[in-house]
Amino acid sequence: MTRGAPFYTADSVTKSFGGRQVLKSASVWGWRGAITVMLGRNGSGKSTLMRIGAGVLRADSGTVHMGGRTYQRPRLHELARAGLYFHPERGCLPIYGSLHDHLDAIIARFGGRYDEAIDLTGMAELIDVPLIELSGGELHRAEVASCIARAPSCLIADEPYAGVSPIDAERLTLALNHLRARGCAIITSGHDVPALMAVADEVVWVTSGTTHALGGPAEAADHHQFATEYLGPSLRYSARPHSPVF
Amino acid sequence: MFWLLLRLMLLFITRGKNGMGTPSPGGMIVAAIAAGIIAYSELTFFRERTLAANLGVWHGWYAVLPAAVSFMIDALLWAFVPGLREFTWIELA
Repeated sequence: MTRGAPFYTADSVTKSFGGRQVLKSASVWGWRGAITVMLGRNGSGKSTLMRIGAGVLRADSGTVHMGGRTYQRPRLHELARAGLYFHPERGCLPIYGSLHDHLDAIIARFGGRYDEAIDLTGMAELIDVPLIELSGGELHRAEVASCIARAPSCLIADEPYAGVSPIDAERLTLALNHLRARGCAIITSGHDVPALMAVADEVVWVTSGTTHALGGPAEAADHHQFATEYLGPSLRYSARPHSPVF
Repeated sequence: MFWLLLRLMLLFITRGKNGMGTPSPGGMIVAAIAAGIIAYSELTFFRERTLAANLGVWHGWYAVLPAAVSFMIDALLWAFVPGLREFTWIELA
């Protein structure tokens, strides 16, 4: 699918841990107003590529391009100043303090409002509760609220659907659609294939230390090797895109 | 940065004043405490570091501060607990 130049690219990334090469030459792209979904088996290097792309892990080689600027040694705080927001699988908000405190910090730094973030995530009643007192699902919603409040130009979210209840997964889908509609370039990953395929504009398959751009969800579902080696027989025919939930 | 600091601390602390490569029990205890502090800060401050970086703030202090505290503990122990300076694993054996 032709979308013009990507807003964000992690290009030709290599990374080894000890003697094990996890990424041989992996790339991922994000376009403004589009969601790129990275899929691949456990241990294929999705999280490693995202962490390198977000500047929290040093690559052996490779570069990051964002907003027309090239980062040879990307660092998250530099990318964040240029509009990136990183949501790692382990969470992105300190458990001390309330969502109100954290959103105030984000607004003080980058401006904007957080009414929509609260409404979309249903956190109005919990906004002043210390995060340490929230359940895992509520904490996840608080983190999604922080992503929306930041209104980033580019969001990298590692496995945001992991361990999320169906109702919260629906809220997350709403949040991703909201950010996409605002022109955010979103790169995400996970194993919840139906949910991810429903929001995906582009699918990237991470396998054998490299990446393959498969096109849209329909093309990805029809990709024989991807369907055989990743989706497996039970998901193979149900991975076609559903209507997005708005 | 984290692993470099940890290695440097282990090197300096376990060396103590008993000569290169001769760890003392006191040094090992301090090294264990230092490693514990860093491991704790790595786990505890992961979210703090991520939020700080997402706000565009360099987050290295979360790695540097525990290391500095560990060095101070080490220095105080070696300064005020003379037994730690004399007692070596070889003597213990």
